[in-house]
Amino acid sequence: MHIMEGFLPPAWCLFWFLVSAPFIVYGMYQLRILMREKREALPLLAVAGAFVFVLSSLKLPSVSGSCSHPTGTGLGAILFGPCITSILGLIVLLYQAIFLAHGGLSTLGANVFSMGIAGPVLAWAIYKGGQKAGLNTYLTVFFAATLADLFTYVVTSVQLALAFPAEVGGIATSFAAFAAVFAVTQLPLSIIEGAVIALTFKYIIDVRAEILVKLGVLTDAAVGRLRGVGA
Amino acid sequence: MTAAIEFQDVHFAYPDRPESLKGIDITIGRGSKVALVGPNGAGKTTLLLMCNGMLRPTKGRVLVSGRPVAYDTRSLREVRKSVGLVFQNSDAQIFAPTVWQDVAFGPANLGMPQETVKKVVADALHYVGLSGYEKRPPHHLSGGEKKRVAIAGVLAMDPEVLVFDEPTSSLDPATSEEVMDLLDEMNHGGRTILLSTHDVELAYRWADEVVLMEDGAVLRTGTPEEIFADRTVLARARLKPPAVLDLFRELRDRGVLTDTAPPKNALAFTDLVERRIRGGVRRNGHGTICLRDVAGPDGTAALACLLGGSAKVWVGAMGTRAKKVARDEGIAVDFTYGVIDKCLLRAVNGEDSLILTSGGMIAHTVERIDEYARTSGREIVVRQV
Amino acid sequence: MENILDDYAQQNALRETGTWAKLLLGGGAIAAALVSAGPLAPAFIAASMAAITVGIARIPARFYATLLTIPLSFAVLSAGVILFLSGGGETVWSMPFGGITLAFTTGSVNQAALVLSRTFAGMCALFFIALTTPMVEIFTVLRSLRLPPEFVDLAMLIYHFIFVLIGEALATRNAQEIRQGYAGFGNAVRSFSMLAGTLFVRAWEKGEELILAMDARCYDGIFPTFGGERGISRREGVAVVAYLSVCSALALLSGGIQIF
Repeated sequence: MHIMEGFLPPAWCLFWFLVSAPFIVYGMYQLRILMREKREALPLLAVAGAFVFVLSSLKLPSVSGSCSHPTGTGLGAILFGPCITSILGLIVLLYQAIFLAHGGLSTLGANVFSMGIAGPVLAWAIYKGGQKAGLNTYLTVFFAATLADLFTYVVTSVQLALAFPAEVGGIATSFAAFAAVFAVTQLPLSIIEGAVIALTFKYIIDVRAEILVKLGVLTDAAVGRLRGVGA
Repeated sequence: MTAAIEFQDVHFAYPDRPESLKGIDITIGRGSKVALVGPNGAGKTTLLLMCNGMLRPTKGRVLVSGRPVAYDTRSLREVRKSVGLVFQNSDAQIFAPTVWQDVAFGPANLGMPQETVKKVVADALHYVGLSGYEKRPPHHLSGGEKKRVAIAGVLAMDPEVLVFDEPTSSLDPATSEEVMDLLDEMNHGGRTILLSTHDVELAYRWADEVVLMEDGAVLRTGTPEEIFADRTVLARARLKPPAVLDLFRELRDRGVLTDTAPPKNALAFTDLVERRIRGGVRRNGHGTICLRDVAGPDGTAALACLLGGSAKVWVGAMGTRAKKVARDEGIAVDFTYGVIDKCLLRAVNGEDSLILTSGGMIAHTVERIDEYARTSGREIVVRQV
Repeated sequence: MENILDDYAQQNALRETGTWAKLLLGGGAIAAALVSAGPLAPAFIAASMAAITVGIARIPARFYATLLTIPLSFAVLSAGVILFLSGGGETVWSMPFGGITLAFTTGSVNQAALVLSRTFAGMCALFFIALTTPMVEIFTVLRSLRLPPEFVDLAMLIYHFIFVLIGEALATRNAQEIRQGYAGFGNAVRSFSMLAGTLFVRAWEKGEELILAMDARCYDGIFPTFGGERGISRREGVAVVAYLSVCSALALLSGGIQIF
């Protein structure tokens, strides 16, 4: 969920820039190391970023006919790790603001935090945890993507509530109200995106599993198992 | 003189696949125009990718300017400085956000200082006729324009040898002609050009030498006349002969024509037929060919009176500069490729034409027209105006 | 898939105006809208930005109007929440609903109005930037801001690939649609996933091709920039300063003007 340009009061805009800054700085540092080690990193990251952007610009199928887009960063985190995803997320958000007028420049800090950092970290954690625990990969991916989306939406509601606490009941009431109002679109969206991402993951495994092995997302053994199951 | 590129018993196989190249031995002479012709799967692209070290032979070796290609980073850089490769698909070659940045990519990474980069890019864009396109993003360009950006990007690195993988595939006929004219201009400038194509007409008209490939091996090398006259080898390569040659051979087989030397183009062919029917060709009464150097002191002055008369004057523009000048002055151009031959065809019919060109191509044009006049026995007046 | 505003930016009437001028104008307008305490200044900013975008930059009015509907649902819903939740001043309207009382007060109306107008002002200013400043111009600005070069190089390459992948996505989706790929929800989900998967695989393959293409031209870590991006001209400077002064003055002085 993007917070639109001009919505947050200036103090809060600044606050979220400051909160996101350390993560972004660390991400840039990781980026520099990665590019220094592997020359091929730059072109591959570029296509990764473009993929996340284009994915997020497509319209998800919906039951209600409403217009919703995948965030794409959940899948990004599973494929590329959370540090790099935060940088890709920053660029994608910048392009979403300038190419699609989604989100904003003053709200970039807030949006990066919810969509580029919080969501992806959770997605990655769930995925890695699920793999370690030996859970079904597709189920893990589904939960990683769905919960990351929901988490992003919760974080955004918190950001809105902090900026506009209710007269009666303060931040908590405000949070409940914002969350409730957006739940109508965000809940189904998260589930659909989760399902779609899991299916996409399966598709990639069926067609070009070696890419996932190269990225370190799956081991050869895991691919063998999954392919065996699916066959 | 050392060959520009030489292949010595080159074999290549992709991992776990049968061989794509099965012992290639060819020599690309310096300054020549060589066409690699063959069906899909013959190994043309694989061969071309070896010319600048992008693929490494599994056996045998590739020599560039007489030196074997070494595959460490530094040597590869050197090879790629002198051998420029233009991919078949321009979308795979262009990746920067603007035309300028894409063309500047090669020079910048070769370590040229900023001022030199600017100059080299400006020159390359001018050469391909894309000055003014610097800030445009490549995804807004047409196929022909993208191809020219790709060529400019390689040209800016000033390579001695230019290699093109199917330069005219996916281009419309007019754009193909312009690209071929560009290649000719580069060759006049002293560069060696090697291209692959299945366009038999193109190879026949354009190349000095043809290398015919099939299933990873060279079937035959030789001049276009030799190769395309060999029916068996052509059939093996699954190619059709060029139309002019095909017509000539059919007429000869029927006894209508008795010449032995095959015609190189429409002009030569029609002359053969005319001689047969009329017993000879007319000596005079032909049209005049006027030649104007657009880079000279007159520029485009007074062309209006040449073109304004009641009789039609055909206009041909050879080279980027002439085309640009014609465009800027609003002169309608009839021929953009194969200009000399087309104007000769007009002259033979008694029609006048005007050729706009510049630089070294002036002398070349005069020489070609005089040569034709000598061999055909026709008197063609060439006037520099 | 929506229109990419960059395409409009490439052809807008303000293409030749300096990038710094456009960014300062738009950015300054956003800042002025943010610091306003009342809805008047943001309303002015929204209206003037819209006028500049449609009138001077010649963006088609109808298209611009559809763009404005993008933030509409978010803005209205959020403003609605604020309307009912914030307080201050006297109650203007109230109604029992279920167990609670829905009410809005003079204070909350003012808050909601402020937020709504500020969002519209922000969006109009953002549209101004998005529709008049092509991304390729912004890259030079990013470089001059001394952002890490790897980051800017990455952004530039991503820019190119976005268009390549959009083309692929459209082609794939059309191919799916003509075979009823999106008839019915279940089909749509499956087709969409295939689309996303194909897109990923193609993206990866293009990445590998790119490595070859860059090596073929001796890639050594350098991504050239056009450089020599001119600063802000006198005329532009005057115009920007004038406009922002008006906006700031309004922002600071008209804070007291509220609905209630």
